[in-house]
Amino acid sequence: MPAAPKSRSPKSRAPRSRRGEDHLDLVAELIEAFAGSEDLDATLAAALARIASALDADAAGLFLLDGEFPGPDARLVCRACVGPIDVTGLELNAGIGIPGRALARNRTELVADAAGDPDFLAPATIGIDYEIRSMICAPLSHRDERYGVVELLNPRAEGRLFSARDAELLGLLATAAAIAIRNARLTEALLAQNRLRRELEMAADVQRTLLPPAPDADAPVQGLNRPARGVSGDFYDVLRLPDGRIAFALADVSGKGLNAALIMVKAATLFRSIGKRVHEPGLLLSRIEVELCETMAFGMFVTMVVGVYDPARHQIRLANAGHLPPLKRHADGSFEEFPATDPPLGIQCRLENDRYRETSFSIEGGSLYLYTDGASEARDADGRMIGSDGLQALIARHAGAAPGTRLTAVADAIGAELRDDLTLLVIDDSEAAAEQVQPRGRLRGVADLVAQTIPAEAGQLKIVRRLVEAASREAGASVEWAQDLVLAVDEACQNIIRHGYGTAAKAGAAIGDKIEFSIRKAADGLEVELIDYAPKVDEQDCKGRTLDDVRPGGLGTHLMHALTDLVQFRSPPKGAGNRLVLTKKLAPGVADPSGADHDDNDKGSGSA
Amino acid sequence: MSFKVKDDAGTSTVFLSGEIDLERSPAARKTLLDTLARRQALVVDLRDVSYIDSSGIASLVEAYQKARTANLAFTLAEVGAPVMRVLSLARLDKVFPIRVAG
Repeated sequence: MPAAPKSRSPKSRAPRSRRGEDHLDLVAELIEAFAGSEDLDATLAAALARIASALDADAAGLFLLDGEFPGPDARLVCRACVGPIDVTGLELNAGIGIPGRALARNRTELVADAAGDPDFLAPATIGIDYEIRSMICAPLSHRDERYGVVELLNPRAEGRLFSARDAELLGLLATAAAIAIRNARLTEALLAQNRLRRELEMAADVQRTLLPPAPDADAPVQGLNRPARGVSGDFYDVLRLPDGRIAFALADVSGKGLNAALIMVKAATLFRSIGKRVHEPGLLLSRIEVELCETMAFGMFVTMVVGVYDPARHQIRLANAGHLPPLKRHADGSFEEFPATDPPLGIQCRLENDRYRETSFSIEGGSLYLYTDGASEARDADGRMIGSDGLQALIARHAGAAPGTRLTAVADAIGAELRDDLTLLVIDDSEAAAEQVQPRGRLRGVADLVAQTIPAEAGQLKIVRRLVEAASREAGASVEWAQDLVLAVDEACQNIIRHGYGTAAKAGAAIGDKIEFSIRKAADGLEVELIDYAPKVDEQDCKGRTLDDVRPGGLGTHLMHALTDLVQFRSPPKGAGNRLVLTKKLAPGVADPSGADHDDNDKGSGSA
Repeated sequence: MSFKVKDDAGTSTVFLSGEIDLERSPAARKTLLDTLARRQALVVDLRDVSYIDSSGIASLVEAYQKARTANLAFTLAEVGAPVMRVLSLARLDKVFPIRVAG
């Protein structure tokens, strides 16, 4: 506030007495009007008219700043005016003239005699036919924040000039108006923010309804989506087809925020509707693209993997539109990637039947992982992107857990501090592969490779025994022959459980302690293969001990050798600890006689 | 699951049953050793044992050794073919006093 001079000019005294006690009533009235204002522009315009009238001005204008002040682009735009000429909408350079000076100094400028002020610019210079003799210009500012100026022109009384008291009053009113403007802008920003937040919450709700409900943790196909903010540009979906196959999709929409989220909603809806009719991944992708291209904004695109899993045949067929390569983990723990062979959806906008290329492969006993860059581009403790290798390591670390638990564990390990949406999908064939070996399942010909992964624990052994017995009987072996192989395999599994993993007999297996067990038909008998992930065994320990030594390990090993023709450690697959193969010959048409007359010691050295 | 034990004057009989494998042999071992604590002659009736592995055999061996140390008689009774097969492979058919199943 400029300090008001104590002395009053005789010229200003006469009108003031007519205008009442320093207009305190006007100040109070306007402050109240501003405080209760719902339409700030209208309130400001009404206030301006009241001020002009109270101070007996011929004309008045309220200008709001547009553009950064100070700066070359700062303009003062007239939002309200009173007087003989309507200048609403008039734009002034905010850096010059008396208004510019009021803004720059952030204080009220009283120009009692305009003609004598060097900064004064006559309206005629901007083509306005109006002569200004005397003016007051007050900044609309709150502390250092400037919103505009308010100016009063030419006292109506003949020969009168504006006084310092007038200037003081205008300054006071301008401050009240500035606070009202500031409050209105803050409220507006808050409302916009709230509205946006509500919209985002609604969008996030809609998105969540599009994700499939979480299945049991051991269901073979599992997905997980963790948005970095309320809405996500990622999605996944899983569709059970009537023939037992399972269609799945995972996608990432370019860009972030609401736009990406809306495209995601559309892509997800398209997958679910078209996916019910079209079960060929390549064709499904091109159908989705056709629909997306009709509406998607230029420059947006969607990377997407679509596939169909056949649990009965352990086959996966997929098509990849520009997405990160799906990661296959083989039953032996090794990984394989399937890079995209076609560009993302929305880049080429092909014809409806111009299908995307497909890949088919066996997933027998293994698993397939689909992920978005929120996973591979996550940072490790040193700030490096973990990449596909890091993701593989995480998957391997949690490979023993049920599929759903595994995804959660991997996502947790990737970290709570998500920079990007994180979406993971797994197709796990280990259950389907195991079911295949059940006696009532597909075990019609033992020539088939049959395989099952079991937790390394005592309670699983009876299952192993049933499987070996069933396989032996299917192969045409006698009851006694089957019993011998059953015992040999049981002893081999026990060695792995007790000496390999060191699991106490009663305690459950630690997560990840497992035995990959398979039976196949060899040239002249059966081969049983046991793969474990325990430390490598010293073969010397497994040669069988003398029979005086009846420690369990020794007796078990002796039985293995005595009951089969060959006990052989072969080189284990990558990542595994040991691979033990037991071979037992099946003489054509000759069942091994029962009885206790085996020549035990000769068998131990392996005669096959 | 526990095993049936019958006490007669001077002799206790443990009836092992089912599959004596890695999962169930700890229970069999405990029953055998607990019964020996009665300081009577021990008969282990194996007629209902359908399967026995090295861990089951080890439990029998341990009980047999404890009985001998305590000067208590120890007999395997009603030994069926599947159990006999394993005992003979382990060359324990000549070690244990065995009463073959009739």
